[in-house]
Amino acid sequence: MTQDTDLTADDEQYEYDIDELQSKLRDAREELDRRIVGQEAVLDGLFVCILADGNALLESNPGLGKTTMVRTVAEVTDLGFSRIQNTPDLMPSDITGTEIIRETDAGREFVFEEGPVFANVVLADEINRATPKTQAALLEAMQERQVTASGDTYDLPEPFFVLATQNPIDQSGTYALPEAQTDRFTMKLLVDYPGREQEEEIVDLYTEGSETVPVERVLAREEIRAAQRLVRDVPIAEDVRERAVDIVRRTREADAIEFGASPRASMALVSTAKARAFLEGRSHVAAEDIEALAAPVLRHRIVLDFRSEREGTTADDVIASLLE
Amino acid sequence: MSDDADEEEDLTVEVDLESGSDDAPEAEGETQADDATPDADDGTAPEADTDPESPQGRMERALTAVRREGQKAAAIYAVADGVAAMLAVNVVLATIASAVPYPTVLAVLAGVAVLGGEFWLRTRRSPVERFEAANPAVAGPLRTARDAVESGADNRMAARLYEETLERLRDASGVALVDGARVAATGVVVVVLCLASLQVSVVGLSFLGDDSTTAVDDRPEAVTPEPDGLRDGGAVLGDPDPVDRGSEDVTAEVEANEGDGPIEEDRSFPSDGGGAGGADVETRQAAFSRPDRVENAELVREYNLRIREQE
Repeated sequence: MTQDTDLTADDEQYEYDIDELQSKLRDAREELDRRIVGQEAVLDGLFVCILADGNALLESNPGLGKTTMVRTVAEVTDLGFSRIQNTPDLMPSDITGTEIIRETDAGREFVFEEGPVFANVVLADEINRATPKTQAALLEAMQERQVTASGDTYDLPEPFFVLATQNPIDQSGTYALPEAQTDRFTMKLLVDYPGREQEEEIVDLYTEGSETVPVERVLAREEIRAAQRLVRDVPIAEDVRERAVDIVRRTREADAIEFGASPRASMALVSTAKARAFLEGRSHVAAEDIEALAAPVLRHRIVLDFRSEREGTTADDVIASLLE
Repeated sequence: MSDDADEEEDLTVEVDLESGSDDAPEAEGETQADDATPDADDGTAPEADTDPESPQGRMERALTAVRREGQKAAAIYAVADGVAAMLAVNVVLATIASAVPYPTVLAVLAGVAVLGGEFWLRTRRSPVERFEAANPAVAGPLRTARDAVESGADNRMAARLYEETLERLRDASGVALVDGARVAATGVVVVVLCLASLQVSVVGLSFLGDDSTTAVDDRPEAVTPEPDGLRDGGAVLGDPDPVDRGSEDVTAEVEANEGDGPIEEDRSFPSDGGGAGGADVETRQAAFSRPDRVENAELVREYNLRIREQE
């Protein structure tokens, strides 16, 4: 933790070249394409989420390469990676860490053993299988960026990025995240099956030659922190910002929506739009950024009313109608 | 129209966004004016203590230049439409409502009203936004840079945005603010109205009311004696009568003598050889009406006066 704090202080004093940072981000994105095939939109979303200093909820069926995807993101960005497989018997201390008694020369002492949440990139697999108490502990750590155990507070490393997954098929024995909890996720990304040609490419990629596809580390964690700070400074025009707020506010007035998005959604929409602009090498936010990110930012924050669900309307359909 | 041409010529000059050296005093003056008064675009004033050579300062100068281009374009439209309105009102008053007093003054007032009104309407919308609409390639960065300048953003990303916007503005032009076809059409209308005004003032057309430009043949003074006593010759003599051929043949003789020589033989000439049916011809005073376009009317008049004195 001390090391991270020092790195941040040094990082803030050093001014990274903006063009060079954006170039490295593009290189990192290309490195991901070498290992992950057919998930371009999800990878873009992950990078946007990282640059916006947010967290992502991933809805995906099993076997679509979520773990490989997040592990690769950590590899190319020099970030620490950990994976939490959520189960009903998982306890909060299994995630955050706990104090254990350690035998030393001076005798016994309590030592805090950090849990898997102490990593830069945390993959919380099937988060809806954990009990609400464990979910709350993880989400609180995600929100506060710190863990409290036995009266002591421990800062989580920076940057910190949680990618939680949900399985939309098997809902038995799960504890669905309440709306207040899903609101803490900046974006919800949908991972769909790849196309036929892409699936064949995946098969060839992982069944021939070496077992793992090598990728290079092209981005340091200090550079990611610098990029995150620059993203916050990306200028946005007033009318574009007003457009973002209007879209979010419309979710509270639309007939097809029972519960709309919160002001946190407005902040997330603007911050992710800035990240997308930065990722694409621009110095300003365009209206297209807002429209492209409206669905990922809002789809998990709204609750459709009964009639809409009965008619088979999805959250994305309603959001698309709000953009018109 | 010459003003329009000058304005259009100015607009073809690309905005100097880098240095602003060609009109630095003017630009600085306008920047100071912007500092002193709320900005026309958004009602907010830029930072007064901005370093003029910083990206933010240069961006402020560029925005000032963009606003100036918008005002020039609005002035071109306003002047063209104002002149057209003035001429149209002038023609209408001369042809339809000639009884209206001071038609020229009214026409000028109408033109000034159209000019001022259109300039106000066109400058009411933000000049920067009109410039963005005319130059879509620079629209997004320019609008964001404008808002960033007004909010006083001076971080690295804002500076980068200013630099990028200034770079793009070098390829932008205020010419696109003016619809050439529209201005040309207005110019054609102005020319037509000019010709119509000229025609009305020379020939005269009136559909309503009395008018000094009434047709010449209908003027009452054509048959009324003028103060000098001269009357229309046609009115005095009446309609021409057919003349019969004479019944007596007379041989005409011409001598070839010198003009000053003595005449050897006395000749007598019939006194009733001419005229219509031998009727007496009453001497009348000949006169010319003004529209007959007698070349030397004054000379004829003088001769007539002398003849009357001799009689």
